[in-house]
This record gives sequence, structure tokens and C-alpha cells, in this order.
Amino acid sequence: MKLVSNFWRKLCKPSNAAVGVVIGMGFVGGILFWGAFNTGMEATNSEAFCASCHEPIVNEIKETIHYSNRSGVRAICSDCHVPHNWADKIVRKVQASKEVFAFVMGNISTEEKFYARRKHLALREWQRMKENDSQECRNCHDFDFMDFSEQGQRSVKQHSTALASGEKTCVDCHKGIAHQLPDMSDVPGWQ
Amino acid sequence: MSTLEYIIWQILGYSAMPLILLIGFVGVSVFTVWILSLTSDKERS
Amino acid sequence: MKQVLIALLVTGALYSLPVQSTEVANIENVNNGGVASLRGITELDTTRKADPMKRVEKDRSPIDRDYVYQPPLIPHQTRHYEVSLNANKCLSCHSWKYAGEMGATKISVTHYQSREGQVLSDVSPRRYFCLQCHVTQADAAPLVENEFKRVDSLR
Repeated sequence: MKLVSNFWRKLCKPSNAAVGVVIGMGFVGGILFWGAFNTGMEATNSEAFCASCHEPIVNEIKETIHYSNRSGVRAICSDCHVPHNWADKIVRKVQASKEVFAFVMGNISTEEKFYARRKHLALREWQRMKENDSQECRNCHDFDFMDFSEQGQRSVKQHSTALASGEKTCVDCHKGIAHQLPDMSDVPGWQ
Repeated sequence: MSTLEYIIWQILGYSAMPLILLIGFVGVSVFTVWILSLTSDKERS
Repeated sequence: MKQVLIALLVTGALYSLPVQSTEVANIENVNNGGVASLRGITELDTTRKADPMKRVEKDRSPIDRDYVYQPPLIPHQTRHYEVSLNANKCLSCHSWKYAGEMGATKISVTHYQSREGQVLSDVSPRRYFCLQCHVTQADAAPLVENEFKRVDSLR
């Protein structure tokens, strides 16, 4: 307590250092803090970090178009599963504290446990994507710039009707595009 | 996710943002005050 | 008598040793004698460079059948269409439930029959793995000459 009041007294008292020094220290300190904070947050967005718990799924993406393709552009876990917008990202990261708790409890510590829980996890993620109108898909795949003449007949049919009218969103059809699917028996649009 | 759960996470998430900034401010100021106290005149403090 | 037998066995074994070693040498000789196959004239112990992958036709209208009871060919890409215990992507368009809505070809009624011809309420497990009969198409030169002609009714 004494330490805090001492600190507060110092904060309120003019310093005999030059104003430029104080401002400069605040400026540099601010940059260092913000840099460190964002670096820390980016570290939790890396593929290696995701794989430390979700190893089996991270391996599944390797045969899909989002990992191996002709042009070498690729998406990593966080591109699809973490909002890019800063405020939404913080909310999602805070929400991830629940996932850290699940990790500590060992909910998906073995592959068997993970596959047993997979449907539940997938349904949550599809619901999230549906609620934000597949924002993470649209960060790269902008509907306004889709050239229907370059798409296959089947794609044009779906994209120019249901997607264009906003009746459906990307994830309604494009499920499991970067993963294997859980049991789909009662999911709409699946057998 | 239920609506209640959604609201709880929104509140926690948005309250985390000022908290982060505040922690940053306190961290930087503690460091600055410490540096300044090293260089200040000992008689005047 | 016993000593003679042992001596015979030992000499026999000694003689057979060089024979065995020449046999091993023969196996190591993998020259295929210049015989070409679909694999080229590559010798057995070397790995030939793989042919470039064929491009599957992206999307086109249905392909006509060449004989009665031919499983229709797939006129589109099927990369990463999962057909497993958990999910069957083909059936999200081609099942009777979705075919109309999606404008896809319906799977035939035979897919809903058991081996004994009994009609089932859902796709028969023996017809579940689509790619066992239905295949995607690539624009590739035939590997061997083919003189197959369509039956009159389909010509």
C-alpha cells in the first residue's frame, strides 16, 4: 500500500527532468508496450501455437486447397478462426480463456477425446461464422469482385442466387473445406 | 452459443480493452518513474 | 554308414553354396530385356519420374453414356469432396432429397436397393462410395487403342 501511495505521489509531482525527456520516455515506452502486446497476440495466432493443442486438425489442412495450391497463397488457422478487426479479435481472444480452461482440464488431450468432441466444436464454429456472415471468408473472398464468368456452372448457380441475395452465407455450403468433417447426419444440407 | 453466454463474452471482451491500455499505462509509468528517480537530485526528493 | 552320410551332406552343402550365391546374383540382375510396358522401359529397381498429373475437367454438362447400365461419368471436379463414415459430399447434391433443389442428376433407384433387390429407405451401404464406380474425367490421350463402339440404341 505504501508502495502504491509513494508511486502516486511521484506521479503527481513535477519532475526535475526536462519535459522532452519525460515525453520521450512516455513515447518510447508506449511504442515498446504496444509492440510487445501485439507481438504476444500474434504469437497466439501462429500455426505452431494452434498445433500445440489441435495437432490432428492442423495436419488435416495440408491436403486442402487452402494449404497446397498452384499460386502458393495460403491461409493459416487464425486467418479463418480469429476475427481480423481489432475489437472483435480482442473479444475472441478473451473468449479463448474458456478454451485455455478446457486445455487445462484436458478435454481434448488425446485424439480419441478430440474426435468424440469434434462435432460439438465444429457446430460452435459454424454458428459463429453464420452469425458474422462468414466474415473470415470474406476477408479474402470478396463477393463484389467475384467473376462469375470464371466460375464453374455449379458455382455460378449458387453464388448468383442464394449468396447474392444474402439468403445463405459461405459457411452454409462450404463446410469442412480445410478440415475433415464430423458426423454430418443431422446437419442441414447433408445426407 | 447461448445469448447469455454471448452477452457475457461481449462484456468481458470489451472491458478487457481499457484494462489492457490501463495496464500498459501503469507499466510504462512505473518504469519511467523508476528511471527518473535514479537520476533525480537526492536532496530534493 | 553314419560317417559316410554326414560326409555326403557336408559336401552337398559345400557344393550348393556357390549355386545359392549365383542365384542371388541373378535376382539382383533386374534388366528387363528392353520390354516396354505402360510403365515405360524402366528397370525394376529404378523409380521412374512420375508423369505430370492430368487436369480434371472443371465443370461441364453431363457426359452421354456409351452403354446401357454404364455408371455416369462425373463431369466436374471432386477435389476434397469428403466421402467417409461421417459425411458424403456427393449426396448433398445428388441424393433424392437435394437433387431437385440443386439441379443435379439424381442417383438411380438401384442405389436404394439391397443386394437382394429389396428397396431401402436410404442409400444402400454397398452403393455409398460413389467414386468406386463414378469417375472424374481428364482430357488425356488413351493409353491403348480402343475400338469400342456404342450399342445401336445409344449411337
